[in-house]
Amino acid sequence: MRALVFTLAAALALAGCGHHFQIHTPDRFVELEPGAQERMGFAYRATSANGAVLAVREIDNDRHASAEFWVEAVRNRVRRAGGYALLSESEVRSADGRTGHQMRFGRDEGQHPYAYWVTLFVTPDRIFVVEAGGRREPFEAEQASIEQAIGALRLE
Amino acid sequence: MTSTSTSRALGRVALATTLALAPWALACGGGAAYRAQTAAETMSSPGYGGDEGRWGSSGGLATGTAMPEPERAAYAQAEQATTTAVAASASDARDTSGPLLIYTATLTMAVFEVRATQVQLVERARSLGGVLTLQTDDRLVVRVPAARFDEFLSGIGELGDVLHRDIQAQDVGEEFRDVAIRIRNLEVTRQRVEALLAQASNVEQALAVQRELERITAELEALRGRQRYLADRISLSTITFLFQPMPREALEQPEIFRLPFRWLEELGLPTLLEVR
Repeated sequence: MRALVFTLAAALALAGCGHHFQIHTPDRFVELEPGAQERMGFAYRATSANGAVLAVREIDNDRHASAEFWVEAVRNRVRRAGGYALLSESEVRSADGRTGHQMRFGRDEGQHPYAYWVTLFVTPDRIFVVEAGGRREPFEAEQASIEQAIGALRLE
Repeated sequence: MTSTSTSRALGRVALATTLALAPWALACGGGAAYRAQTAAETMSSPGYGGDEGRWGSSGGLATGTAMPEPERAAYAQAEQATTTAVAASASDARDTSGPLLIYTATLTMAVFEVRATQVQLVERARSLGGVLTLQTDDRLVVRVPAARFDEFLSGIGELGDVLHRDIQAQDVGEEFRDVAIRIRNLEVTRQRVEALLAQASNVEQALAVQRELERITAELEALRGRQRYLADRISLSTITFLFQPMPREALEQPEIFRLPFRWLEELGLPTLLEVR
């Protein structure tokens, strides 16, 4: 019995304490099952009923690269390899006062325009990549709550 | 009628014309008689090269025995002056009393960036007063003043690896002077034939002399063209560059550089929107 409790406690600790951020799921979003998200490389993912998705990746910055490096790497990757148009870039702040860099991309797929945001927070040890995207219309309907969720992010 | 028989016929006409005009010419003064006589001698002399319709290099008035010593000396002076003047204008400060050299160089170079090297070479040539005459992807021809030829070539090795170098100096002094002599001789001959034309007593004579005058004029122009060509070649040295890309290891970095971080590759809407 003790072993079972210990195992559960350890599992919970790994699941709950494995991430170094806190995010508030927007009201009209639902957080998706963590295990499946982990397998896809996401530390957190939530979706609206209309297909606007918000996700966080947490990556060890074991090479200790600067924020500028990662911003440029992401920008190049998304623009050149992904074929997205960079619409705007701006600095954003998390709830704990950290400065992040937000890039807003656009892409047309067929006859549908899509929005795709990537927000990077880089600490000496970790990279937090907040992604948000979806078809433009449902995404714009949730844009304010997504901005709010990013602004409410707390990083450890 | 062949060109040989034409030339011989012209010579006979000139001789006949001279003989016909001789009494009149003698009456007009010794100088005229001398000119008429010399024209006839010239056209029939071995040096004329009548079979070919051209002047031989040793022919013409320069070797004519009839030319008085003072006039020959004047010729020599004038020819020397002309040669010196043209050569001097052609070859900057080069000493024209010695050989007149046409410098050419062909350099095969291996370079990293052909286009950039070509730009540098053209700038270098222009800075020395030279010009660009040909530029293709793998070939460049520039011309620089002969006096700057060595200077131009001295630093070429800094721009690339010179795989092969072929430099030639062709002495055209003899030809240059010979052309100058032939020009002077033909000019004098033309003056004399012009005098004959003025003295022609009938249409037939006039036409024959006119034809000879046209032939002399054409030959004179050809010689002047050759003289200008030589002067130009002496004045500006020609350097041809043949380019080969520097041998190197194959390097194929893709247009889109990909960092070795898997999560970067997973960014994008397809992954984000694939909800599970």
